[in-house]
Amino acid sequence: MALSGDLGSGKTIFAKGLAKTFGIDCASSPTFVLMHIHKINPKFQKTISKQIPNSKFKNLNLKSEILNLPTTLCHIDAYRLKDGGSLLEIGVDEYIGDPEVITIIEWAEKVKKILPKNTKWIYFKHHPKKENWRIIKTGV
Amino acid sequence: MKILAIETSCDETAAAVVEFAAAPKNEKTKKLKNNGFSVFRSLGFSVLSNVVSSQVKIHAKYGGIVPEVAARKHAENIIPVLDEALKNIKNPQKNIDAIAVTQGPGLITSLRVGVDAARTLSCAWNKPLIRVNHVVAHIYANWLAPKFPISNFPIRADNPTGRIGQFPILCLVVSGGHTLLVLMKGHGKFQIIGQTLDDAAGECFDKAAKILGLGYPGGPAIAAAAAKLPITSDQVESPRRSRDNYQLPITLPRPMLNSPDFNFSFSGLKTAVLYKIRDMKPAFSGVGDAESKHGVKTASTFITQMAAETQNAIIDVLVSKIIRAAEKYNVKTVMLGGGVTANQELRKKFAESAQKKIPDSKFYIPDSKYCTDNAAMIAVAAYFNPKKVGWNKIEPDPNLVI
Repeated sequence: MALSGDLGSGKTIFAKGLAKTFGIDCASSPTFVLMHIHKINPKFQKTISKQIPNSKFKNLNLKSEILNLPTTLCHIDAYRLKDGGSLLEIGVDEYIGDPEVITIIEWAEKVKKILPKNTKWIYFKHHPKKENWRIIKTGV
Repeated sequence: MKILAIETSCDETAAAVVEFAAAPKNEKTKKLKNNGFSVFRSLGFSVLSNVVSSQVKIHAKYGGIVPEVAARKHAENIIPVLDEALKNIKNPQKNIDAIAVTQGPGLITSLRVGVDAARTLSCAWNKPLIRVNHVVAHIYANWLAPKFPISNFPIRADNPTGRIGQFPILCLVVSGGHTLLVLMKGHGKFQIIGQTLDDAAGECFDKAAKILGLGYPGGPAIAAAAAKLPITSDQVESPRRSRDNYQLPITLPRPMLNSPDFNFSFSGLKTAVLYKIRDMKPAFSGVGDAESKHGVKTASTFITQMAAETQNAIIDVLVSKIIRAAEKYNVKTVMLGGGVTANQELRKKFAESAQKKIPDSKFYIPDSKYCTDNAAMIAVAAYFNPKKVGWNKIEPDPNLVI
């Protein structure tokens, strides 16, 4: 998941919110160490699984296989990076593209080159008038 | 006992040799067994060498630390820094008793250089290797005073009355990557009672400085800009007003100042700075001297005031939380640690508040040179928390927790 937008446009809050749905409470900004790895509690994997109705699957084993329930959340901040190459140096290729890992990258436009084609892009903007409003757009 | 310590968690390549020795014979000495190391009740220690090679100028042009540049520089600097640190140590292979190294938290590519250097020395010299948590080491910087007649508790040479601290200790660690309140009930007994929910305080300084166009690193840049405050036009008109009582025309929020917990949040403050700048820009474009709705006359005055208010907002929150936590946990000693602690305004306000509001607790602030990253503090932390690890077992851990 690639997040793009100015300082203070809500990327970290969005990532924190996402982490919270997986039961991770303490997701702070990884600007300094570039990457935070959070293990997802199996309890929350089940919660996610429950939210998708079983009726959609004929075979329940198939459901868990297809869903590839995530085990890990990888939170990256590319704010201080020059390009994707420097992100590869800290070993992100272990996480990006792994079906069991949800990777969420702030300032993703800086490392666009190394992101897979099926990356989900989310764009953040300050509202021109209302201070506590943000404009969020999703794209491919 | 001499410990060689190596620190490369971020953009500073550092090595130090610290000697720990029993106090002179006439003083009471008592040995305690502690994980195989002898700990003296009363001991003196001295920093034999403390070498720090900073890359801050290199990273300044990028507006922040660039990891792969940092790692390359660490690799270039580590041998000269070690050479310098060991220059005055006779036969280091024989006289060094242990090697200490920062295991984390920090940048993985930077940590690896220090850990590899330490494990190589440990293997080649057959010396025990001690892994150290960088955040814990920032707390132990308080033990490093200009002179070291030091016991289990810090005794500051600049405090000749012998104000000796006692457990429980409360320490606020604030740096570019960390903002945490740690309750320490004994050596190695740490409990995090509050931390930042988003950005670290130092990160807020960096980002606010970037928005204000003050450069990198943000902490010193904002402090320097804020120090220009007395030369505002208002003050020239009314010189009677002292700087401390000077009411800034700008107000920024104090995030979570009144929240009942001891957590911090600095992300919103950075956004508030951004909005103030954005609102002011039209007033300054074209007209150099336009009076804006904030009553500010020129762009440079505005930047100075913004810098001062940003600094005030960060310091107010930090000081208020540590004092309140000290009251709640009824601690005997309060300390600061970490790079942001080098900020003079923070040191001043913390000392004033501590004296006024928690007069029964002792308080300590490390010497400025031991606030920023250094290896001497790694040696002291290793001495009091000797976590031995095999040279072939140690791995750097960028997300190491206390």
